[in-house]
Amino acid sequence: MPDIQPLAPGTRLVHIGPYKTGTTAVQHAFHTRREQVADEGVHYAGRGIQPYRQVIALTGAKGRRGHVPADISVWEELVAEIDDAGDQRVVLSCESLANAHRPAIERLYADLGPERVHVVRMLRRYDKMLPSKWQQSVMGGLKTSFDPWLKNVIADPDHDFWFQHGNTDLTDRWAEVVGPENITLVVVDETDRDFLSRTFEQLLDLSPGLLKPVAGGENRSLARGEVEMLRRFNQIVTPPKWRGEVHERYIRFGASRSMKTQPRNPDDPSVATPEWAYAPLAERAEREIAALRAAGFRVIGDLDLLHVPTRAERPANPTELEPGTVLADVVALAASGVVKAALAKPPIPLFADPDGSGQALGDGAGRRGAPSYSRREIARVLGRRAVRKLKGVRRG
Amino acid sequence: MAESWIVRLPGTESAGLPADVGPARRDVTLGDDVTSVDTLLGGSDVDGEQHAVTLVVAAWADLVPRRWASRVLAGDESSYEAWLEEMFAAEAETVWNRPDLLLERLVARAGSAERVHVVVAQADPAPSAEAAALLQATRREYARRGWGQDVFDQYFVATVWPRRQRRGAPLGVPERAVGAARRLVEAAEAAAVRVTGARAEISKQGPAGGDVIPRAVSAATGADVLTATIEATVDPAEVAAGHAAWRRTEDLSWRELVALLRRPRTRRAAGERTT
Repeated sequence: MPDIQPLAPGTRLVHIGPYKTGTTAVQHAFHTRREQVADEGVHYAGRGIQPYRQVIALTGAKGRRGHVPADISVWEELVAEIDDAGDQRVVLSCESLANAHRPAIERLYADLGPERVHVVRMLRRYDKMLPSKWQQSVMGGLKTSFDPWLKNVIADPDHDFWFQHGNTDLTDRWAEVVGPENITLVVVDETDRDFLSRTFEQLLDLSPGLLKPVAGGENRSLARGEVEMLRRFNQIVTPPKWRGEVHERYIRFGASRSMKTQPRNPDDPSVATPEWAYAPLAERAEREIAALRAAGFRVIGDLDLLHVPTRAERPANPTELEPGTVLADVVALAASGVVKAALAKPPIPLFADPDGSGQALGDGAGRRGAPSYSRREIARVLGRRAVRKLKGVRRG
Repeated sequence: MAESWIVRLPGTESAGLPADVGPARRDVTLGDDVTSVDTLLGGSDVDGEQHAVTLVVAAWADLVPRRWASRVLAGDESSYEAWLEEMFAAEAETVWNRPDLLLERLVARAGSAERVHVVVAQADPAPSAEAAALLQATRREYARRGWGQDVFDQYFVATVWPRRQRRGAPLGVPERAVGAARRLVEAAEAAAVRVTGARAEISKQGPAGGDVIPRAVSAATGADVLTATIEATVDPAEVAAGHAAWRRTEDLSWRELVALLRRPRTRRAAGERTT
């Protein structure tokens, strides 16, 4: 990897992810080594691993299921904290910035100081990224299986995936505000574990090795069986019946986190992009790589790594689990993550009130015994009955 | 004074008995070792009287897996494989491996084979292989985390196990277990002990190859386990109330649903001024 010219002192380095590009490992390294990083003139913005609440307040996004939105003042407090850093370099890292629409980007640009902002985004091959993105959506409550979800993504140019991850969509949206000269593209090298940490060290003029990934800091992908279990769970525990907070506490921070404490079992394969998707993805990637080259962005890494092959290459694993199954050990691990979360804090109500108010069941005085249902819920029940009836007619 | 005893194999505690087996002075359930019969009935034969004994058994294919499961549910951490190894070792004098020895002891206690009666009862079926896999994996995981039996009871024994234990193909037994069961049938025939019930049931075959705990379960099963575990975080009454409240929507008739859909919107929802 050739040497990278460090950014000027005082730069506000805005790392916009997107999701599933190795951001967690980088953020974990910054967060756990705040003091050492500060000693070398870099302030890592926020107090946690990433300033999620503040960024959601800025972007106005809905946030993950169960998230309670914060007032814009939390963003303003973060801006004040960044201002206080003066001529230090500051890193603001949050992959939820990839969800930002133009007004939020403009506000960020103005708040942090147009002369100081430099944006860095990661790029990863689509056939590697899409399975990760799908499984992340499943962790957030998605019920759709991979194939139909992927068909929808590929067929719909306005799909959220392209907005959040598109090689050109996301890059151009930010470049239109901050200018292409203030953007650095980093092409993820899947074969080099330390590539991202070295990139940030060089961009910020930090000592080599300071951001080396720490054990447990990476956010490994879930295996096929693991994610299928969560998808089935989403089908059972369908909102609005269960409250969003339940998913947040017991699945995201319980079961999923627990499964990720153990390395993936090699017999439970990764979610793989299906064969049929390679050709359209290859075509799109080729077109976008050419566009990025033509736009003249600063690029770290090799843009050619973003080319999607036209066919899948998958080694055979004779002990691979059957699709639709999950290791019993993994189920136990996931369930123990739920228990761990339950033991850590007082219990929360599981069921929402069917009146659609979003309140927990029983919170509304006097409603017990005389529930009123939301129109959406009634329409859904009617729809389901109509489908059942139609199927019956066809079979009959 | 002569007594009548009922001696049960583990797992037959709740099995019904034929009408001709009257109330017994003693009704005991054995442990795993043949010697447990001496421990349980010790001292009862000092009077030199001849007692009538009813031995209650059932299919080994049901009893053996269920016995392992009940031990693990109660706190034992043995894998099924290790437990089978222990119970059916060549020299093991367990009630499972040497039921013939058990019968021999009972005949000696009764003083005559005529006073011994073997009842082949219907026991609860073996747990499903998937449930067994979950049980074994969960016991191991909870032990790794250092959690006590109280946590295991709340989050698995009382919640996951009851809803999973009968779903799917049953856990089987190895051929040597079936062979051991045959020893009882043969010993009863040789001693001309009265047998009530289908004696072939005792040594019936379990599912072929089903004596190995599967390493994987269906993803749907895994999801159900997560659901049950989350439900175990709150009072069961809250879970019941939650399901009931939501089921009511499904229970409504077409006419009722359409009527609800046509009801006037609330003032706020309709955007009316409320001031």
